[in-house]
Amino acid sequence: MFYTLTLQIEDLYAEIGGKAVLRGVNIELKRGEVLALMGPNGSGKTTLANAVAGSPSVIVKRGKIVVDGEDITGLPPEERSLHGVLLLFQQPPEIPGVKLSTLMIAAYNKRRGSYADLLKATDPSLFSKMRSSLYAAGLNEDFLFRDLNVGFSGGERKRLELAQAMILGSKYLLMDEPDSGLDVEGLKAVGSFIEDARKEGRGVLLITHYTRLFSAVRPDRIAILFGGKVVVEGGLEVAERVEKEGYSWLEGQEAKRVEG
Amino acid sequence: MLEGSADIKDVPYQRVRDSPTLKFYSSWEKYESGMGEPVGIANPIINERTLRGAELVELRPDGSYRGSLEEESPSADLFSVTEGRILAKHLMSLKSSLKLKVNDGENRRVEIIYLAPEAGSSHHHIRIDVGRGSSAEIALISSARSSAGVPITTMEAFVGEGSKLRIWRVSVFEREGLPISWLRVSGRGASEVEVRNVLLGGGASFASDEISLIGSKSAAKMNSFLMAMEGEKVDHLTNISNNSPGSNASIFVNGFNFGGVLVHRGKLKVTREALESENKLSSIFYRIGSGSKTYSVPSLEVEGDFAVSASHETSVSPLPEIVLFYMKSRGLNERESLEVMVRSSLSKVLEGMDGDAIEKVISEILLRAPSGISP
Amino acid sequence: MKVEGKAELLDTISSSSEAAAFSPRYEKAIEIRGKVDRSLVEEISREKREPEWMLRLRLKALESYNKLPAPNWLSGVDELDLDELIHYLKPDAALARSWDDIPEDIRRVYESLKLPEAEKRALAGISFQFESETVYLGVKRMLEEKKVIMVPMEEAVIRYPDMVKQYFSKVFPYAEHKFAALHTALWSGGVFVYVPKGVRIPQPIEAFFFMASALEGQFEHTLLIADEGSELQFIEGCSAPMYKRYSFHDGMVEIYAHKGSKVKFVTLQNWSGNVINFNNKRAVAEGGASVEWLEGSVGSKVTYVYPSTILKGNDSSTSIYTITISNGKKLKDTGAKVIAIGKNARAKLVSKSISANGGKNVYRGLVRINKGAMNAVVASSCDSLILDGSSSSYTYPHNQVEEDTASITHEARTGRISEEQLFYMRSRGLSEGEAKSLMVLGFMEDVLIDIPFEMASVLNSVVQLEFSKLGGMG
Repeated sequence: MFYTLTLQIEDLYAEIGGKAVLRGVNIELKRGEVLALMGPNGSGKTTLANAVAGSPSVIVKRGKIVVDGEDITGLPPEERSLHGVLLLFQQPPEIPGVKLSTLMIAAYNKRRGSYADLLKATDPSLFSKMRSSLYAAGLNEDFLFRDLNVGFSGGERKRLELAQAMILGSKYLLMDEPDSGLDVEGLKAVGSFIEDARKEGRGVLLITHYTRLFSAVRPDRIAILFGGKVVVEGGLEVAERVEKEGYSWLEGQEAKRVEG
Repeated sequence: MLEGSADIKDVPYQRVRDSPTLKFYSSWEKYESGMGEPVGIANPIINERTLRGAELVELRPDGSYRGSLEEESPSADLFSVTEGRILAKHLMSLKSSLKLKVNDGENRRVEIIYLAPEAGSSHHHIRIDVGRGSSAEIALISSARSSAGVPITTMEAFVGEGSKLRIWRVSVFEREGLPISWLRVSGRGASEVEVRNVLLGGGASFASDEISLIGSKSAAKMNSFLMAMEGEKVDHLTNISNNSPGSNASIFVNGFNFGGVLVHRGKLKVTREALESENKLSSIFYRIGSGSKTYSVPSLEVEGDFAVSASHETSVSPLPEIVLFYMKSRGLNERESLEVMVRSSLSKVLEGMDGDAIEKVISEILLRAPSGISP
Repeated sequence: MKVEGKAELLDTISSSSEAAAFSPRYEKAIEIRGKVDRSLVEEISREKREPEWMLRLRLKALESYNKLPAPNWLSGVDELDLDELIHYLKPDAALARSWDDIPEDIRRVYESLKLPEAEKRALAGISFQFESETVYLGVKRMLEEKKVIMVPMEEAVIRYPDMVKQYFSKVFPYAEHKFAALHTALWSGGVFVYVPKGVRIPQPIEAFFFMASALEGQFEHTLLIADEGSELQFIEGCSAPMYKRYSFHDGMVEIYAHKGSKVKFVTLQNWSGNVINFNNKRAVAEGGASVEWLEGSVGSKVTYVYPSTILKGNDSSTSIYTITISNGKKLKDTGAKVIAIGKNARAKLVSKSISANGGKNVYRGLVRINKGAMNAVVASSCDSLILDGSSSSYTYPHNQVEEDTASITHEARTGRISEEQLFYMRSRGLSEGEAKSLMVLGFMEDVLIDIPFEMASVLNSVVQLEFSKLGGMG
């Protein structure tokens, strides 16, 4: 296999709390591509995103995760992040005492590589970047100085994840239900962000339960995770069928490998 | 001179009245055995100014001092020798009281550096009178590398109507230090009292802050950052007695325990006079590494249905896994994630101070912290 | 010891009132008058025809009682007159002679609650005759078939001495505090329950109606042993008001839950306003066992009860729910204690208290996680509702965590009924008292969900009665 710029998930088996959730998932995500991943509740979509990002609560039993030719399967989450994989959480946690600006400065410094003090911003353009990202995500710049997610509504937390993706710029994005809790305006913001990400050559794994997001951005491919495996792959017709029939037609389908 | 008495031995360390299974949490015996004539001056850890442009006062272990405060014969209004043995011994060892008077309409900033003895105990008492419509910012900085001494302070402050008082207490001691500090503040109508603490280490450091609010529309805010490494103990008490209508009382304590002992007792007392007041106490303690002991006792005493709100919450836990994962997913490793959390908490307390030197000390200590975060 | 210079410092500030804010108030220790004679203890033991070992236990407890200091952590009780208490130790003394003996207001409550005659008489302490009523006979037979032992405590001492010796005063040792020692010296009455291995009793046993006479005493001792894998729900007391002639009650409940067993112990107490109620309650949970305490306290002048569970075995769990209502000049000093020793301990503590008309509620909690109690998770919450200016609520939770992997959270909220809420309900036609009782019930809702329906409905009626009248009972 020659080296291409992709995020490869190869034959991934993973467990949560002792229960097997992923049973051999194969996905290849190219840079500059938007791959939507759908599936019924409990199918393992969030588990998959968490497994790729290296969450301690997901135990990978078998398989590999390769980013731009480099095997990251055994790496701790922070190194996966620095290798260019950014997870936008489905339920971002509250972090009392830590401001968004502090976390972004630290993460930014880490990516720069050399810094005297992890928490001090040396790049003056960073603050304007943070402000404009918040604005683009539909949030007031006050959110920069508020304790992360403390008292934020679901929609606000999602917008904050989006702003972080704009500030941190990563090669691959795992977006876990970025549209939940958002209104029409929010949906548009998510849509236009994904369009920009695609144009910038970022690979986007877009996890969503509903098809309404596709009115704001057209994915290149749509795959369905069912029973712990990817069983269907195609274009918008897949989404249309899910909207009409739900997921019941997937019983008994064989596992598929999703590739471009 | 405070009158002495032969019956000081009859004064108990502390009157314990909580329950049959509870004894006191403070290390009274350790303090008592460390008390005696002060010897030498211990090397401070914080050597830079933390309130630039402020008046500078230096308190020395032998009871003398340098600076712009008035000195007068020892007297204490808000402290009584009957409360406890260590306090009684301290009050009776005072050679003088220092007085800081802020006249009506005046603003004063004072940085008080307390040098600890290498062994034995030292005693200082400071009385602060803030007039009407005035403001005072006071930093009490005490730090020492390897000191087995017991530096003790009592501070009492009276805040006049419409005035503001902000006090920082920064106490950074390495493993053996035994600093004790009592602060009592009485705030009158429309006054704002803020007490901020950075309490680090010491074999057993004790810091007690009590605010009493009277008159209307006053505000009392306490914010404390606590940290104890292995073999260290931080013993902190934060009480607010709210008798002020339309007031706001809040206590926030954040502690990081790296294998030492952290004790926090905090009481919010809301009396019948505190009509339409809001009262909240919140304390969060994280345990990192192994061998930590954390004791959290938030208390609430509410009389009548006059307050709008009165609540408290506390949690003692390891660093939440999901929070750690979230920060790691942004590229920070475990140590860096911890640094973000510790320094974010610290920066809230240091706001308004030139706290770089303090931040640096804490960062250095963090580097030496146990490497495994998850036990 | 005077502090000089005080007068000069007065200036514009009245330092004496400000100093008062800081001078801690020390409550007096309780004064206990009268003495408990050794001969009295011997007489009690003799009348019950107890074996030697039980008499010895009583006498050791008496010794402990004499040595232990009077508790200085109890407020609300200045003085206890033992001579008066002892008067009620004789079995019949506690019984009312006739319906006319019962105070008027209590009789009225019984009428309005529409209780069956037999229950009324039992509650009034007039008779204990309905152990023979058919409803209860069916349950008795079921217990016999499953080989569950449920007998008065005295009977158990004689019939099952080995079992009793193994647990009696071991779950809650008498030397712990003065009232535990007093109890163990003078105990009389109470129930002994033993559930054999694997036996599950599906419906709650309303012990009051079975063992009414046994549960009538002031020093009753209940010992409940659930063998491995067994399940039992035991309900003590009744939320309907109960008239007691004696004024001091010092009971004890010891529960031992063996591996994998489940015990639920429910106490509903609504005693007349002349009683000072002291209760010592403790359970030990072995591996995989779960103990649930539900403590509902409406009546009595003063109540002290702190159900405790020691989570000894791995994977054991406990939940402690307390509902306390102080309507009128009453004091409820209650709480919960959990000590986690084994691994993976789980505990949930929920306290709901309401104080009105000068009532006072105190919550004392202890959550202690010993080193080695890995992965313990304890969540406790404490909500208080204060209904007027003369009532109060105090919360003192102690959290002592010595294990690195444990997680403890505690939250407490003290609230009130706002004018707006009251007005809203009144604008829908409710009187102030009715509105308050509705809010009180809503406040207690999540704790009440777990009580058997009939009990919950009686409690409902009781609460409505308590709060509908402006003055309340007691």
